[in-house]
Amino acid sequence: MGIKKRERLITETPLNLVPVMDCVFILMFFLLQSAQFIHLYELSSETPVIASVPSDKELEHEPLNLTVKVMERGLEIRSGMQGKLISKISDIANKINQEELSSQLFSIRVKNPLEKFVIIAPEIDIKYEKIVKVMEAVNTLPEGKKEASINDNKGNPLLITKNFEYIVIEPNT
Amino acid sequence: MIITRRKRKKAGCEVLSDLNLTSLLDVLAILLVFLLQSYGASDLSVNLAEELALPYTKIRNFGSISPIVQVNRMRGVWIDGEYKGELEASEDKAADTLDKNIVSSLTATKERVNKELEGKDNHEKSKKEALQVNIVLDKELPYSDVQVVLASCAFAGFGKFKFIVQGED
Repeated sequence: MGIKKRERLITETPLNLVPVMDCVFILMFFLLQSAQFIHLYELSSETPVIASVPSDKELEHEPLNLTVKVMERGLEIRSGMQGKLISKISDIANKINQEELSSQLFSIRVKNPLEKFVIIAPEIDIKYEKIVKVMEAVNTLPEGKKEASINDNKGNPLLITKNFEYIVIEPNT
Repeated sequence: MIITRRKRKKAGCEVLSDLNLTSLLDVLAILLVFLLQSYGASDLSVNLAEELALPYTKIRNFGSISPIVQVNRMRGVWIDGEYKGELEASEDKAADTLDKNIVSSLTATKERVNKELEGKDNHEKSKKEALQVNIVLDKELPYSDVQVVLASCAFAGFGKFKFIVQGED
């Protein structure tokens, strides 16, 4: 009698895996349906809008009109109605210097906290890939930061996640 | 012992061994990890046209459902997966060159959306003001071709351009 009891204690019941397998099967169908083998993301841009200001009406202050000119060998950052040159950024090994562009745009944003638009003006033969890289630099803060706090004109803190929120691609005429 | 086996055979109740599920579970676990890795939270799905290589980006903004305009390396135009012909060439590279296929297809889409919005509340109607279009272009295309696509989309009333790009690992 004593030996039988010990045998009964040692015998292990097999683990019931049926509910686990049911769960895994359901999860698998869901994942198969939503699987993306190429991960696609989007970069936004707005239609350029032309606004004319009557000659008799004077603007309170000159608009920033920040423009990034994309050229074969580099970039130019210009601003103002006359397109005053702020800086030039040369390409490194035929690739745009994204980090430099991003940090320069960030410093411009710090000085103009309420400005949200940047105009990208590519030359006619510039490849689409290069334009995308410029858009990427506009959308990312320098040094891989996810967000940054800047002060608005009244000194109130303003949290930003992009250098500039809106991109307008200028037609090349 | 012999008597017991005979008795069992007579009774017709043979001892069945348990099904070995370990190997199947191993396969499922590997498949699960692989599928979890390729899980995409975006509701946008694009059947990419032939000869179309997307540029890469580190930006992680998920796309949304809108009409899709694709232009491949050979300047072929697809709208919502349907081939429409070759992109209009702008010989003088003028900014106002329009592609008639893109304009007509997107105008038809816009009219359809407007009809669907008829009779709906103002909140829904306000959405039509900001019609957006997903633009899928080959990374080698020159800006002269890109601006034909943009001008055509804008002419058809689609004011928000969403450039679809591939995520960089």
